[in-house]
Order: sequence, then structure tokens, then C-alpha cells
Amino acid sequence: MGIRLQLVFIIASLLTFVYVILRIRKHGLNIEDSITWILWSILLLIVSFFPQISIFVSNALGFISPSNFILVLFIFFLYIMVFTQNIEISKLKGKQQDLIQKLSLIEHDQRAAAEKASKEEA
Amino acid sequence: MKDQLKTLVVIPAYNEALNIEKTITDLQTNAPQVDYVVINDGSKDNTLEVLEKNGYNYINGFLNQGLFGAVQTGFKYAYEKGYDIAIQFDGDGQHSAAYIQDLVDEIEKGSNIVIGSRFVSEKKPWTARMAGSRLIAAAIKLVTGKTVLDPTSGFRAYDKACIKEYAFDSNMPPEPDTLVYMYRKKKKIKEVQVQMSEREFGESYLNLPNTVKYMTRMLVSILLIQPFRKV
Repeated sequence: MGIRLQLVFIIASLLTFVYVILRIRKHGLNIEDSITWILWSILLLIVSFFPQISIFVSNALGFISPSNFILVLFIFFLYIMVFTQNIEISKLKGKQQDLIQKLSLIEHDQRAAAEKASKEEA
Repeated sequence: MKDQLKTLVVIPAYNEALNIEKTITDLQTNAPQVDYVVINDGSKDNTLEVLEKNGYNYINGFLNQGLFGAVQTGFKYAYEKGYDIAIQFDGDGQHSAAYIQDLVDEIEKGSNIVIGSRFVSEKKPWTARMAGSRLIAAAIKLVTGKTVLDPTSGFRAYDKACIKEYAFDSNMPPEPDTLVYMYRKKKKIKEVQVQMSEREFGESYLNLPNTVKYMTRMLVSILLIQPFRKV
């Protein structure tokens, strides 16, 4: 990896890190969900400061070049993120459905009770 | 009985059918001066039936939210009912109601948060279980310079301002990491010695597979998130 590419990498990962922290500071993301992004941006920082790590791993795994390895790493991370997000959305859908049903039932009971009360009055 | 602040004990219960009666009996005998509310956190066992049968004061959260959501429900209730102190108390019989008054007394003396701590006058044992506690304590010390002897204790009392804080902020789980944030807000946090027992039945929220996740969350949050949050 050339020195120029490494510099780009360092700046990009620093900016990512700062951006993630700033967004959390502004309550943009809850702590639970931000952990993955923080860990990921730390990993990027480490790798960009010590490219030897990615060179070593990429050679050990038989990649043609370290940049290929990094690309694969990113795609894998994004793949996992999309997948976990999907699971999360499914769960939310289920919970939302439960909530709507529960509330509709409560509303029905309330309406029935109100009708009964007004009949008794009349 | 002396005139004291209105206190609510918040008891989150997830699948605690076997423990909850004992917990409430303990409360009623050893701390009759305080109110309590049980939050059923969408239990899959017959916790709800047990609560109903005994006529306990409970809120039925019909979906599982996890510990934080359940406790927060209780804090919202405390806020709406105008309580001065809210105490987080486990439904599994780990905590002993006999110490509630000690926590309340410290709030009355001017602390904002009081932690029922196992290690004020007693030494923290060098067990694997306590390694996590030490790590969290060290991280808190590093960031705030303050020593918390029992950061993972789930037995805590909060004053009125803190109730509001914890009730309405979605980033305020009552966990060790938010103590850092409270220290940054210049809140007075105090620990008092309590005894805790092991749970008798059922599984803890914090089972073994979750421990690594919990520790990562705590350390990242204490070291990298809480110090940067807007105060």
C-alpha cells in the first residue's frame, strides 16, 4: 500500500470516528446501536495506522493484494450489518403489530363499556 | 413514624413467578414505609397470574423490553405520581428490603444517587465474576477520577431530578456507564454497604453468553461515549 493511499485511509477513518462520536453526542443514535460503529471505526483507525496488519492477514489468507482484502472486509461488514438490521426490523414489525392489536382491543373494550354506561343512563 | 420523602421501589420482573412473592413479602415486612410497583416485562411464565392473585401493585408491560425498558417504565410511573425517590430493586430476591431505609436516608442527606454496594466495608473478592466489576470500576476511575466500589450493583436509589433524567432519556439505562454521565453532571453519588444473596430460581438477565456483550458495551460506552456526551 502506497504512502498516499495510507494517508487517505488515515484521514477517512479519523473523520468517520469523529463523525460517529459527534452524532452520538447529539443523540442521533442510541448507545446500544452505536457500539458496533465505534468498534468498527477503531478497527479502521488501527488498520490505517498499521497497514502491516492487513498486509500480513491478506498474505496469510492468500489475497492477491491487501486492498482486495480490505474491500472484502468492508463488504463482509456491510453484509452482516444489513442482515442484523433486517432481523431488527422484523422484530420491530412483530412488536408493532402486537401493539396495534393490543391497543385496538383496549379501544374496543372501552367503547363497549362507554356504550353500556350510556344505555344504563338512558 | 417520621415524615419522610415519598419513595417508590421499582421492581422489574421477567419470568420471576417463583421469586416475586418472596421479594414482595420481604418488602412488606422489612420496608412497609415505602410504596412499590412491579413491572412485568412481558414474562412468558405465570408471573402475571402471581401478581394478580396476590393483589400486588403492578404494571403489565405486555411485550418484553428488556431490563432497561422495564425499569424505565417504573421511573415514568414514579415521575407521574410525583415520587421523590425511586429505588431500583431486583425481582429475583437478590436484594434485601432491610437496606432500603439506608438508601433513603442517604438521599435525604443530600446525595443524588445512592448505590447499594456490596463492597464498602467488605473487600471485593478476586473471582472471575468480579473481574468484570473491577474492569468497569477501573474504566470509570480513568474517565472521572471517581471510585465506584460496586458499579454493577442493580440496587440503587435516585432522587427526584435523576428520576426525570432516567425516565425520559432513551440513552440512560440504569447501568454502570451512565454513572459517568451523572458524575459529569456533578451529581453526588454515594455507596452504602448492603448484603446481597444469590438468586434462588430462574436465570439472570445477565447470563454467561451475554456477559461479553455487556462488558464490551460498558467499556466502549464508559471510555468513548459517556465522556463525549453533551452535559
